[in-house]
Amino acid sequence: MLAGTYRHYLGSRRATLLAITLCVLVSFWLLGLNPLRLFSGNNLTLTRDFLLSAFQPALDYQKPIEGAEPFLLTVISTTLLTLRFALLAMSVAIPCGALLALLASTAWWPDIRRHKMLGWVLRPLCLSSRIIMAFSRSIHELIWGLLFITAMGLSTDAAIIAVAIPYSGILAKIYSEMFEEHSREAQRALQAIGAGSIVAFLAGLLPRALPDLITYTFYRLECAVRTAAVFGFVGIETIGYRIKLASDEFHYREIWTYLYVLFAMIMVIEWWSRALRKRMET
Amino acid sequence: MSARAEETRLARIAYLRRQQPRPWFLYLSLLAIILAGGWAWTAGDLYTSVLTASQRSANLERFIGKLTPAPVQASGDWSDFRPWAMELLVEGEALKAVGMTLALATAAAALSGLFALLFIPGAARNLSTPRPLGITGGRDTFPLIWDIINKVSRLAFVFTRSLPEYILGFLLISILGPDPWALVLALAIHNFGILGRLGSEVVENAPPRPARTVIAHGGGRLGAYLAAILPESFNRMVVYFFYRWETCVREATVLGMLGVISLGFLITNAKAARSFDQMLFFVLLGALIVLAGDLLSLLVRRWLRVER
Amino acid sequence: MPKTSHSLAPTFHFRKVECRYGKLKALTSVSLSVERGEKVAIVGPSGGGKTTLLRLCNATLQAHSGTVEILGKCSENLHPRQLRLIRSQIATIPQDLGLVPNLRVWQNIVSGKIGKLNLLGNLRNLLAPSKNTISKIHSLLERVGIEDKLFARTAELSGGQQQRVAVARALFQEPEAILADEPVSSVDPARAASLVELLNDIANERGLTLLMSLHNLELARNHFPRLIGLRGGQVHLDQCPQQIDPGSLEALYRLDADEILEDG
Ligand SMILES: Nc1ncnc2c1ncn2[C@@H]1O[C@H](COP(=O)(O)OP(=O)(O)OP(=O)(O)O)[C@@H](O)[C@H]1O
Ligand SMILES: [Mg+2]
Repeated sequence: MLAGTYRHYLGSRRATLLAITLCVLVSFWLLGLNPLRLFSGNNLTLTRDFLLSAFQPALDYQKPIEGAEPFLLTVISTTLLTLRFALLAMSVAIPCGALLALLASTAWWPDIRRHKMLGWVLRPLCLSSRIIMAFSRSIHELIWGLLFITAMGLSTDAAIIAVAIPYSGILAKIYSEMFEEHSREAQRALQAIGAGSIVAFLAGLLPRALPDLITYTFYRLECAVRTAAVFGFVGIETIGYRIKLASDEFHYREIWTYLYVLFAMIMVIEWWSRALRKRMET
Repeated sequence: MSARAEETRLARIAYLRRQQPRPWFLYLSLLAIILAGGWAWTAGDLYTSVLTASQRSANLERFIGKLTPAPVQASGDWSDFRPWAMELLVEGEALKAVGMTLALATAAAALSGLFALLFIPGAARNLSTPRPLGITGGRDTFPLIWDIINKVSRLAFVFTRSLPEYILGFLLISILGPDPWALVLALAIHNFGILGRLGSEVVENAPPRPARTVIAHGGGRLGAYLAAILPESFNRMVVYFFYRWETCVREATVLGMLGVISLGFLITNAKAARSFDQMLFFVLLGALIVLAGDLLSLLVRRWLRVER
Repeated sequence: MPKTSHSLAPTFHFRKVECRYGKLKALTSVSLSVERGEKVAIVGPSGGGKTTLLRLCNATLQAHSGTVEILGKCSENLHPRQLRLIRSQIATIPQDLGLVPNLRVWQNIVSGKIGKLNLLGNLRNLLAPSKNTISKIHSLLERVGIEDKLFARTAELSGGQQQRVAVARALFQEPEAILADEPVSSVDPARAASLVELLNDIANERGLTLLMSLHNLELARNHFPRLIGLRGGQVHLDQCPQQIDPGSLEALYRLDADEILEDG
């Protein structure tokens, strides 16, 4: 019996690895099997220039521009704009995601065998919010952005909503998974002493899941900062926009400055999230 | 109860309350978040639009008018949809684009996974220390080396993680030319950071007993990693791999916008040609692939019986 | 309802109760009565039906036939509100204790009243409790012997201390009866005995009914005036410990033939 399950286990492992390898080989073949042609001729010098510039990020424009704002001021205002975009998108996505997550999860439901009527209301609500969740996150935020821009032109609201839609879906998915995954012992204990299902959820499950919820939300904020940077490519003057301008002029050292700024922002968010988590857990 | 006893109790409670350190950091964080949110909402527009409201609604009307597939709009008959879609799929290269999207994602996930596996033992705090898994490794000639290896690999993970795929793709294509491998590299670099971090957490949380046995029997750190920790946490690693593959698929659909055949490329082309019906078709096709990827990843998770 | 008749009714009254999980009969034809203020230990082998019996007592499970009366009220077909009212009068200490580890000790205790208050009252208690409430909790913690832990994080307490938090929560509830399902299975013998003693003393002081399932026969015999032995879902014995003869105890715990085979 034991040997049998063990063998099965090994088999499933080997099969997984084999299947992955096979898929990878097919993909390599589809992509053309010569990745090394990337680094031929002129590319090599460009690559070297680019990598060497990492050691001397620009503190001023590589080619001075008459009458322009000082470089470092531009960096600061770009950083602030990127951060602001991320915050705006998240402040829409978090409440929407939390609402969707609650609708999609069964953790706070009363016993629907007892409340038949309620079951008829809750089940369709749950299903439809799951569908909304899956659909909204299956389209990338940049594509949402593109759709909004072609539909009615670029604007602050369009950009925020384009990011908030898929982000609400992703947050909702993870939140609801966390509600379902956390151990229910406290919730059940509270129900056994007469708590209603919603109160038992609020007092027994939510506090338990809170550290995980917060950690994940911070991770999403980190992603939002990156997305905000990328939205520079559709016209909002965030980090991506500056990188694009600098790249058009081959100003690699300026690019590195912006990359380092992005890195610093991500580091700060990660540090903050870790510090919060440590204080909430121990 | 006498008033006096009650008073001493209250004094005692106040004392206990003072003994417990106040969570100032939590309070300050909450305040900072509220302030940051307020600042974000009140500091003005991100982008000053030049369009007026009427232009905007005219835009919207035109866009919506062109969303139904052109032949269907002409004949008013949805049976014309199938040939139109088939044509887009085969001759419009949508199928090829789908294949490319999946290939990009798979190659990138595999590359990043492979390289992450190489760096993970360096980044795991329980392995790259002078005392791996709490067992003394003998007298090290230079104990600081482990600290340095640890810091460097962690830094590598965070740095690569902080670079968005799209920006990396843009830079790599501008340096290396429009080649799908540039996009693979872009996806792989970002995911290397994420997989590396997730993987080193898995290694840190793996049950230490088997690995300790390897070291106690004279094996090294690498031996413990390969022979004990990796087999132990195989399932979890595979689950993370599929989780990242799923997001790679999502990301690969847009990377095509940078000029390499994949769905994003077709979407931008259709947009430029103002054939919004085709654009919507490609967008929905992309959504379908992402959903399929989600489903596959879910099935693998079920199969390996590990929750994420 | 006249108060006197209410207080005269037994705390729990089972009449020919049968309870199934799917096809499996967890309890068959159980009849018993537990009076107010009585202290009863439920013993018996694993799978004997102890947990099932306790779950019937706080109406988290419904009998399939027969009647269960809790505090004089039949627990069948109750409106959810009445059901919650009954549950709020019975304190339950589950085996896993059901505490929220990342809340403070006082927050866990304050949720003892959760069934007696509405949503707003509960939120207020959990987030901004009154001085009186905290003072009450402090006195309860003093009773269970860990008053210094009032503001500590629950996860930082030892297993034995957490059990005491669960007891304090039960007391804060001001119940008519306390149910405890194997409350001492995860602590050392000395702590197990002191917790059983504590619960007994408290039940005596306040005239509470105490129903506790125990795997430790010694503890059950030393501290309880009445033992109920469950085996295979039936009441195998129901006596005071002095009257129990060793033969029937052995029969209560004897391994069945199939169990022996499974082990070998
Ligand atoms: N949720 C359930 N679903 C199906 N069967 C169950 C369930 N709970 C208990 N049973 C079965 O009912 C019978 C009685 O279980 P119960 O939990 O009451 O035993 P117990 O005396 O508390 O045992 P233990 O000492 O191991 O806790 C057992 O055969 C058990 O397998
Ligand atoms: Mg039990």
